[in-house]
Amino acid sequence: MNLTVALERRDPAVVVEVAGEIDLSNASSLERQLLGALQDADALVVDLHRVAYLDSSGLACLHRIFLATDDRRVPMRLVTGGNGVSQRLLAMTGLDQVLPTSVSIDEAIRSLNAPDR
Amino acid sequence: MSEHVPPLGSIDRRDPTFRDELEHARELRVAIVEALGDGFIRTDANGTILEVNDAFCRMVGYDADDVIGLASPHPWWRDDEAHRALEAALVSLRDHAHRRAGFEGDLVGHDGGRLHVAADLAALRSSDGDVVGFVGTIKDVSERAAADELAERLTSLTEQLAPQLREDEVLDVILDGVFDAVEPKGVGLLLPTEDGTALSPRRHRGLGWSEDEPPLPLDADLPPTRAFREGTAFFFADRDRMLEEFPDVRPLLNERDHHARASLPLRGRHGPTAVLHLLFPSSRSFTRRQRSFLRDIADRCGLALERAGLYEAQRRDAERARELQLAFAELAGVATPAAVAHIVLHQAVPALGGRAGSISLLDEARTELRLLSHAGFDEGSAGGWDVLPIGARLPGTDAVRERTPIYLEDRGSIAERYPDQVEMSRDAGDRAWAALPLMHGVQPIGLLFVNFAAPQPFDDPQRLSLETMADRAASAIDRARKYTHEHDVAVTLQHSLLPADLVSRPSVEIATRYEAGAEGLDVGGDWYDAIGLPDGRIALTVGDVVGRGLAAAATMGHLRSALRALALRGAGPSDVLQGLDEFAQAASGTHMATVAYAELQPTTGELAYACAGHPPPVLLPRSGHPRLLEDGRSPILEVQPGAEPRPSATVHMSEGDAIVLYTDGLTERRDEPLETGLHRLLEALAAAGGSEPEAICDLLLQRVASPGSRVDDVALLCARFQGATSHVVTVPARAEALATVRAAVDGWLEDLDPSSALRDDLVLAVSEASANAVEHAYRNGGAGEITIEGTKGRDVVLRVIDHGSWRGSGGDPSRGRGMHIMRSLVDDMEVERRADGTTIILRRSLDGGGGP
Repeated sequence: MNLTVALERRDPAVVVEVAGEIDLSNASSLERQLLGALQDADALVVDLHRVAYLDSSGLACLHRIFLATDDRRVPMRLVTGGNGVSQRLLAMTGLDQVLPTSVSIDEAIRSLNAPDR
Repeated sequence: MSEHVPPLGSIDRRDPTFRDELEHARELRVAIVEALGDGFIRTDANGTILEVNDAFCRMVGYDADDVIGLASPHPWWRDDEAHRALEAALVSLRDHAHRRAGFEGDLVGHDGGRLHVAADLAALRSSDGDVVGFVGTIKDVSERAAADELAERLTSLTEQLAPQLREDEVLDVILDGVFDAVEPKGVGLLLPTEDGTALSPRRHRGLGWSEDEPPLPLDADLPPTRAFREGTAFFFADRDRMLEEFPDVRPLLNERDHHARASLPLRGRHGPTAVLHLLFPSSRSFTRRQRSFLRDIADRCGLALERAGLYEAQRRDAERARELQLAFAELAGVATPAAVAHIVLHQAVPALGGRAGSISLLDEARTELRLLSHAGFDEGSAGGWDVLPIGARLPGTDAVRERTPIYLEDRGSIAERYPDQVEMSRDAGDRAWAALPLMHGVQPIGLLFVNFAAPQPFDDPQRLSLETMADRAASAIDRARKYTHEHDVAVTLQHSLLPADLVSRPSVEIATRYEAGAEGLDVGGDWYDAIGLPDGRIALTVGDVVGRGLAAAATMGHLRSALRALALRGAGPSDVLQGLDEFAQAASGTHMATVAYAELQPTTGELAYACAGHPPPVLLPRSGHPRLLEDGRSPILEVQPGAEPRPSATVHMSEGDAIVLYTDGLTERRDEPLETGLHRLLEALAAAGGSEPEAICDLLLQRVASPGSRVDDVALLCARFQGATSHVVTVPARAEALATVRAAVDGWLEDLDPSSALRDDLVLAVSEASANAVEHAYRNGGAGEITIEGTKGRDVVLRVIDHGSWRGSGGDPSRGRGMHIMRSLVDDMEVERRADGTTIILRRSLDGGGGP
């Protein structure tokens, strides 16, 4: 499926950029890649701003990743970047209240470096 | 006295013993003749008087000496009529050898006074048969004549008129009759009061009594009360005689009142029923004859009164019997135990003289009686009867336990058998009770309790009436219970015979109704159906098998199945109806049937239809007037099998137009022409264009065939065309295909404003629904396809059709989330579980503008 995943280290986090459409066909693959990225990260940023489509499978994947980071006390940020599709869906399902989101990668890194963290 | 002695047989007259005997006989004869109350006269063959007695002399007013030797004609037969009667009597004695002859006529006395007498004559004959003289007795019948006249009046009254007469009218006749016959100064008729403690003057005239004379206490020592108590008559020649015997009367009497009086009991079969009180114009003595005359009159009046009373009782009984019959007849048409109780308690119980009543029913465990209904009690006074444990020592529970009626005639018998209930009976104002078990066969089902305000005899006829009432009530309640049960069974059966799985397509919205008619418990033969044909067309049908009952229902079931199979051949309405003809012929169908059948092509809105003997469907445009679809008509099924092809017709439906199919139960009423019902149907639909099919069905059942007016069953189907339906895409039920689905749906929606969220929302919703389908497909071992269909009208409707089976979203939170997302994105989401899979119907209005 037309989904691309790119990893980039920006201390203290590993930034995962996801692009394309997330649905039932690739959500579990995405989940595996994100769990892999989590292995050697002190923090995880998932960049969704180039995601064109996201469905409930994708949301479920993101929620499970969040639970995994929480277990490992690894902070996580979702970057929606004003992406209408993912933002709307997170709001619709109430996950925006659970998953910490940021508008941009920079803002995400800043919040991860903040002293109160 | 006379030298002519009648022959006394073949006796030797010279025998001395004979002479003594003869002398003795003469003396005896004289004594008898004188002792007779009647006049006696003896003449020779020519009528010359030889002998008379004192009574005769008193009647004619002559001395005996003036009369003996008097030749015929005698001066007292001056009345022409009497004279002629006498002559006729003598002729019949002399010439026709009759032994006796009699006549009645007026005898004119010496002083000119008339006396109505009855004469009884006999001829004296010698041993060779010659008439040697006549003897006669003359009776004063003037009083008797009056009594007879009265008796005749009373007899004709009671025997011929009494069936129509009331007691009051008979009293009037008695009063008038006594006045005429006795010619008193005053007459009074006193009858016992209802409670039997006093005599109430019911009629009086010339007695100086007031209009509402108070009743005389029966134990008072007065002539009328004693006459009634003792059943004997009292005669008083004057005031003093009365006061001698009845000193209590003194204060009631005027000082100068010296009139004679009489108080006579009117006797019935069971003792006195009334008292006749007479006041005479002056003081007078009463001879034995006068006394007996008055007693005679009283007896005749008593007889008349009693007869009138009997007739009245009979009439009352007949009236009650009629009321009972009416009540019983009404019971036959009643459908609930409560309605039975209402009729019994409000009509039958009062008809049987009950002041109040209650019906309670045994519970299923038979441990208690529960009050079903009561009537006639004061507010709250029946409260103690809500529930009675069956073991209680009460008349009602005892009657049910013992399965036999319990009758308590008065407070005495209540006190005797149920001492703790006396107070309650007194508080309630009850004087008698009847506790009647309601029996179904030998099993008690409840209790009918009747409360009476007066003591009751509870004689055989009364018991029979009460027990008949209980019997009728019990069987009516039993029937009502069965009816309720059977009605439920019939309704359940009916619904089981109707299709549970109507086709559901986005292009058409369908509503159906089946309403049982008011009559009977039978299942009916009406049906409706909606079938999805393989090529996407939708078949709509309503039919009616003539008749009711299981056979009709079975025929209906067969026809419906056959129609489904025929419809699926896809050859159109004519083919379907012709196929049904053949089927009906082949099946041993004794039931005729009518069918309306239509097929809607959802891509174009074209509707092909045909009716076999069925009322025409109605096309209801979204805006505009409803009209009957009267083409495509052919006769009732099976009437002319295979004769001619069944015609069909087509009509175009635009988005929002509806079609209404119905059975004649909707429109037909017994007392009006068919057109009236059709007119009513069109009228009801006039303003309904564009309405929801469910609302249209409700409207029709309410306005065209309201439950009150409905006689027959009604099957009703309303289908609204939602707009042309397109096939959007069919993909394998695999996750990889979801992107294809999204692209196809997005493409199908391309004419919508791309800037609106609506398009994205619908794409997302369909994708979620498809993801669901994929998961079901996986759960079922993969394979299968997902089909997406869409209809664009006022709404966009998208259907995601799969062939997996849903087991709910289970514990998987992401699936639950998916459902939540879908619901959030559309106005309406429906999950339809079919036998072969699941369809999700997503509907989003285009009118609303923005999404959720």
